[in-house]
Formats: sequence, structure tokens, C-alpha cells
Amino acid sequence: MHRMTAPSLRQSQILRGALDLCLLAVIAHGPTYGYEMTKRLAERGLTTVAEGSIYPALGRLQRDGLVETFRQASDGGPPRKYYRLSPAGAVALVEWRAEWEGTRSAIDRVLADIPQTPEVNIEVTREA
Amino acid sequence: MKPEREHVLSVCRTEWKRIGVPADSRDEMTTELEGDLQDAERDGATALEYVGGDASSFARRWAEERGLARARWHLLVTGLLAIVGGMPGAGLGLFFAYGWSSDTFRERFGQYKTMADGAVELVPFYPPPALILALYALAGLTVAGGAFMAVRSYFAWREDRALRETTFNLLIGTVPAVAAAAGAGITYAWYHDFQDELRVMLGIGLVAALTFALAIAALRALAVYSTRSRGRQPLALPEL
Repeated sequence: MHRMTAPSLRQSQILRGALDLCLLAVIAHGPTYGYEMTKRLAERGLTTVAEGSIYPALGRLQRDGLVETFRQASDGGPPRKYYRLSPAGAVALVEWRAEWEGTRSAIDRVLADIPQTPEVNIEVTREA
Repeated sequence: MKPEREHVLSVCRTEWKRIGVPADSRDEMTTELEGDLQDAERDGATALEYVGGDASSFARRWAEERGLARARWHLLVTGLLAIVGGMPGAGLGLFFAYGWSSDTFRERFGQYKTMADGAVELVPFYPPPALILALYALAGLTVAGGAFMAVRSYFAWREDRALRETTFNLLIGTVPAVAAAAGAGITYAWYHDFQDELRVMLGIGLVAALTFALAIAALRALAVYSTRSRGRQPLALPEL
């Protein structure tokens, strides 16, 4: 018997290691602020990224000098803090993307022989 | 401002203050979060949902990842340095409390007088109470000054961003804490008739140290949680 994990939770766990890369990729398209990043990630299908997890990740990127920040006035609210890629961040983005693609290819190869549907899997087990 | 957003921002600020995030960073993060919470609310989310349901934990993780949460380490280092720095003053205080009451001291500083019958007698020296109190105060100030300088030297050596704020708070907090510790120690000594037994001496040190720790803890809690009780508004974002 195995414990079932909710798909959203599982996806969050998978994303945890790739969130910094995703944020760098979003920021690479142009300066943006925290909430806008969550929307852009959601538009690309990453709906399970918790908004609260964006800020610690941005803090990490800022601490490591991979992003720079600047202030810009907003309509009717407090000034916005925008993030943009630093030169070190641009280099990191390229390196991390290569690492990600390598990891993804390896995982794809591992999963290549797995049938797409659970029914097929059950039949294989019964025949054995 | 919506009550829930205000509550979330207040909890975050309190947590940042508790874990030692410098004031300028607190203001910057508050302003950033406030703007994003406004947008999230406009799109139908609540402020608490946006930060993942636990504002305090969210604030702590954010500050930790930015490398701004250093309270525990600072408390340990500054606490030890404050104790070391305050030792000369504490020794001075113990000398005023016990050294002056010793027979050796009274005889050393006493005066020989010729009595009516021609005999020469030693009149022991008893310092006036006002002088004793003044010297106790001097010992207390030496403790506070020593502790303050020790901690300030540490922050200066580290070139820490929190130097100004931390040392200022320490300056404000140490003086009443030392006064309370000195008062408790003297009261304890007075209760035991200023006996110079080891047991009493240890008791004085323990009572003074506990009072000092309690006073610092109370002042710190007051400083941290007064932000929430006053409902202070986030300050303007500094230039980045």
C-alpha cells in the first residue's frame, strides 16, 4: 500500500527546485514585480506556485546578486519594487537552463518505458 | 487599508523586528508586500491567502532567504559581549558593597586620634551614605558603558548595517536594565545584611543577572510588539 499525494502538492515539490530558474526566466523578459511574476507563472501553467513562496525565492536571488531592484511609482498605491536581471543573473540563467534540460532529459529517459495509462500497468502485473 | 491586509503587514513587521531585520529593510519589504497585496485583493484573493495562510512564517522565510534574519546569533554574541564588557563595572560595584565594609579598608583609611586620656586610638573610616550611593551609580554606569562599548565595538568591526539601530536600542535598553539589576542585587545583599559569605555573593550575582535578563527581555518584547499595538504605517520605500 502506498500513500497518495495530491497532484498539486506533488507539483509544488517538483517546482521547488526549479522556482529560482523560472523566476529568472520571467524576469529576463523585462523588469517586473512580485505579484506580476505570480501572474506570469500562472499564465504559463504554473498555477500551483504559491504566491508566498515567490518572495523568499526573490530574496535568495537578490542576496546572491542575480537580480537587481529599483523603485517605480504605481497608480494609486505604494511605489513598486521592480526586479531586473543582473549580469550575473543572466549568466546563471543560461547555466541553470542547461542544467535543467540535462536533468529533464535524464528523467524523460527514465520514464520512457513507463506506460501512459494505469490500466495497462495492471494487466502487465496480472500476466506476470 | 483593508483590516486583513493591515493585519498581515503588521504581523510581518513584528516578525521582522523580532528576528532582527534592519529598519530600512523592514520598510522596503513592507512597501513591496503592501502593493502586491493590493493587487491580489483586487483580483479576488485575500491577503492571508496570498502569503500562504501564515504571515509570520512567510515573513521569517523571506527575511532568512534575503540573509536579513540574524537575531539569534546577534543576541548570543551581543549578550556574551555585554556580560564581558559589564564585568569591570560589576567588580567595582562589589568592591563598593563589600570592600568598604571590610575591617582592613576601614583601618587603612581610618585616622588615629589622641583621646582625652592620652591614648591613641584608630577611628575607622565610614563613607557617607551619599558617597556610597554615588559610587553605586558610578558602578552601574560603568557596567552599562562597558557593555555598550563592547557590543558597539563588535558591530563596528563587523561594519554591520544594523549598527546604528542596534546600538541605539542597546543604549536605551541597557541603562534601565542595569539599574534594575543593581537595585535587585543591592536589595538582596541588604536582605542578607551585606554578609561576605560565598553563598550571598553568588546569590547577588544570580539575582542581578536574572533581573538584567528579564529587564532586557521585557524591553525587547515592548520594542518588538509596540509596532503592532501602535499600528504603525509602513514608511516610504527608500531609494534603491
